[in-house]
Amino acid sequence: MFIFPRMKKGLRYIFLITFLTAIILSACSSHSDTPQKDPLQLTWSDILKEAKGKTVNLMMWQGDPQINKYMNDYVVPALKDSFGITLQISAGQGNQIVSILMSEKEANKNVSDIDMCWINGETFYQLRQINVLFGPFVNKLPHAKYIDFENPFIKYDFQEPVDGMECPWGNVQLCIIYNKEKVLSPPKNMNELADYVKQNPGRFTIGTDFTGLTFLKSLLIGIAGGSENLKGKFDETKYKKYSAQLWDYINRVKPYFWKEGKTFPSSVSQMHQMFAQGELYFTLSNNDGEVDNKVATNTFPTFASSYVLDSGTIQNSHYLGIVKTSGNKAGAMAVCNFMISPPAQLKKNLSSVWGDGTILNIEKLPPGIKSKFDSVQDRKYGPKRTDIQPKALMELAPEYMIRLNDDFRKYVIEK
Amino acid sequence: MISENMLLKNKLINNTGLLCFLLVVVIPFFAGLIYSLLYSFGLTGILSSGFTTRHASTVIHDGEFFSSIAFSFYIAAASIFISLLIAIPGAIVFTDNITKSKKAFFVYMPLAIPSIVTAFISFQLLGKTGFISTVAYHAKVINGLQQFPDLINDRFGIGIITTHVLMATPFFLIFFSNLVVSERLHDLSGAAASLGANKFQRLSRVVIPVLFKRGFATIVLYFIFVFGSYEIPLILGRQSPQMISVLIVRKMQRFNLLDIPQGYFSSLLYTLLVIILLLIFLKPGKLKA
Repeated sequence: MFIFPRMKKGLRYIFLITFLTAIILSACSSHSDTPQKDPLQLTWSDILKEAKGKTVNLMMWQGDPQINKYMNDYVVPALKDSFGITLQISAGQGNQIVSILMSEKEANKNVSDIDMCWINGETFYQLRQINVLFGPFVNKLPHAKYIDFENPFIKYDFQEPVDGMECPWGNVQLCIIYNKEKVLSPPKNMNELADYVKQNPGRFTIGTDFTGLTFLKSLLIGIAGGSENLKGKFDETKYKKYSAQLWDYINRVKPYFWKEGKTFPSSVSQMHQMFAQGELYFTLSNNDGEVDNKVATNTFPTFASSYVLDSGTIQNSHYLGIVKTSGNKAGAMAVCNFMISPPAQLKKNLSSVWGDGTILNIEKLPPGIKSKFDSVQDRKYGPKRTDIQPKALMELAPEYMIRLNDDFRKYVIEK
Repeated sequence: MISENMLLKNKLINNTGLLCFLLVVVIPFFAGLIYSLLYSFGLTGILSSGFTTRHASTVIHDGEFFSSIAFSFYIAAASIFISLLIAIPGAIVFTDNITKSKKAFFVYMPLAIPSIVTAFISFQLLGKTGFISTVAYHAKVINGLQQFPDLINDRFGIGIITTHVLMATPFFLIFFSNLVVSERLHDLSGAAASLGANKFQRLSRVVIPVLFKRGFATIVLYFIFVFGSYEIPLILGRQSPQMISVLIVRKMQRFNLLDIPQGYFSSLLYTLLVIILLLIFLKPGKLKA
C-alpha cells in the first residue's frame, strides 16, 4: 500500500481497519469529560448553579402545534432568561423513548442523548421495567409542595405509586368529541352508542393508538361495573371475562363503523382531521380541555363539543421523567421545577394555550395566583372539570393495556 | 517510475474504497443481522432470559407475517406493472430524450417530492372528503361524500398503489427514455423496419426486449424498494394486513417489551427474503445474459 510500502499486505489491512474502526468508535462514544455532582446531595441553589449555562434535551410528543407553541414560545425562552438553561426539544413519544433508552442501555452508553422525557403511564411502566429512570427526585423540587399528591389520579400512575420517580405535569380526562350539528342527542352509554352507530353507519370509529386504547379501557371498566372491580394488580380471570364481553360488543357494532370496521385509524390526529372535515361525527380526546383549544385555534369548527359517558372515562396524569444516564440531571430538575411552577401551570391551563389540566392543588397556592386559577373559566365547548370529575375512572394496571392492545388486533381488527 | 507510482496510487484508491465499503456498509449490515438473530432467540437484550424459540415460533405460526409479505408483494408487483405500462410506451413515443426537453421539469418534479408528502397529497386527493370526492359531489356524480369509493385505507391498497405509481412512473420514464437514446433503439427499430419487420414485430422483438434486458436490474431494485416502503403504507394502508415494514416497526414498538424479539425475527426473515430475491434475480451471470 502506498502509505506503508514495507508493511505486509495482511498487516496493512488490519492496521487500516483498526485505524478506521477507532475513528468511527471515537466519533460514536459519548463520554462526559466532567463528572456531574449527584443533584440529590446538593441544595436547590447549588442545583441551579450547576444547571446554569447547560443544555437540557427533552424528548416529547410534538404532534400538536399548540403544545409545541407553548413549549417553544413560553417555556424555552423563560428557562433561558430566568435560569440560563437551553432547552432543546426533540420529537418522540412512548415507545420511541423506550426504544432509544433500551438501545442505549444495551450498548452500555454512559451518557444518554435524552436528559428528560414526557411520559404517560404505560411508558413509566416500561421505563421502570428496564430501570432507566433517575430518582426519586420530585421531593427535591421547591414547587413540589404545591402538587396535589392527595389526589389518587396524580399519586398513582397505572396503579403504580409514582414514588418521586416522575414529576406530575398535567392531568386530563378522556372525552368523546362530537359534531353537535349532526348528533343532536349524543349517546350516553354503551347501548345508546351501539344504537346510534347502527343508525348512522360510517360516522364512528376507534383509533389503535393510546387514546383509542384508553377508550377501550373505559368501556372495559364500564362492563366490569366500575374501577373498584379491576383495581390493583392485573387479574387474568377478570380480564378474560370482561374483555370477551367487550370484543363481542365491538364486533356486533363494527360493521357500522367507519369503513365498515374493516380498518381503523392509526392515530387520533387522523380521526381529528376526518372529524373536522365532516367525515366522522365523533373523535376522541385524551384531554377534556382539547375541544376548546382546537376550536380556539380553528382546528375544529364550532360544531365540536365534548362529553363523557355515564359509566365514566379514564382520568390520568402525564409526567416528566429524568433519565438515569442523563448528563445534566441538575438542569433537568430545574426544568421540571419550572414546568410545575404555578405561572407555567396556569399558562398551560388556558384553553387558548393548551387547555391542559393542572396537577397543582389550587387551595395550597398563594392567594394572588390562586385567584387567577379560579378565574379560568374559559371552556365553551367542553365540559367543566367539576362536572366530569365524578365520572373519572382510575387507570388500570399496565398489563390491561398491553393485553387490550394485542387482543383488539387479534379479536377485532384481524377478525 | 511514474507509471509505478500511478499504479500504487490506483491500488491505494481501490483498496481504501473497498475497505470503506466494508466498514460503512458490509460490516454494519452483517453486524445488524447477527444482532437481530441473537435478539430473536433471546440471546441478547436487557430483558432476555436465555435461549428460546418462542418468538420465532409465534411469528411463523400466527400467519400475520406471511399475509403481510404477500400483501407487500402484491403492492410492489401492481405498482411496478402499472408504472411500466405507462413509462415504457411514454419513453418510446417521445422520440427525443425526454430529460433534455422542456417537459423534463414536469417529469423531474414528482421525483423531488418526499414520499411522505406524496402520501399526504394522495390522502387529500383520494379520501372520502378529499378533493376528487368533493368535485364529484358538486358535479352531482355522487349524491353524498359517503358514496365516494374507498380509495385510501382500502382493502385492495388502491391508495398505496396510486401513490407508488405517481412516484415510480416519472422515474421509469426518465430511465427508459435514456435507454432508448443510449441503445439507439429508434435506429435499431428503423433497421428492423427496412428488413421488413412490422410495427408490432419491431416493438416485441427489438425495442421491448432490449429495454427489459438493460433495465431488469433497476426494475428488480425498485420492486424491492416498493416492497419495503414505510411512510406511504403507514398513512394510506389498512391496519390489517399491513405492509412488511409497517408490521415490523409495530412489532418493534410493542407495549409489551417482552415481545420485541418478534420484531427482530420478522426483520431477519424479511432481510433473508430480500437477499434470496437478489441472489435469484441479480446474480452476475443473469445480468450478463
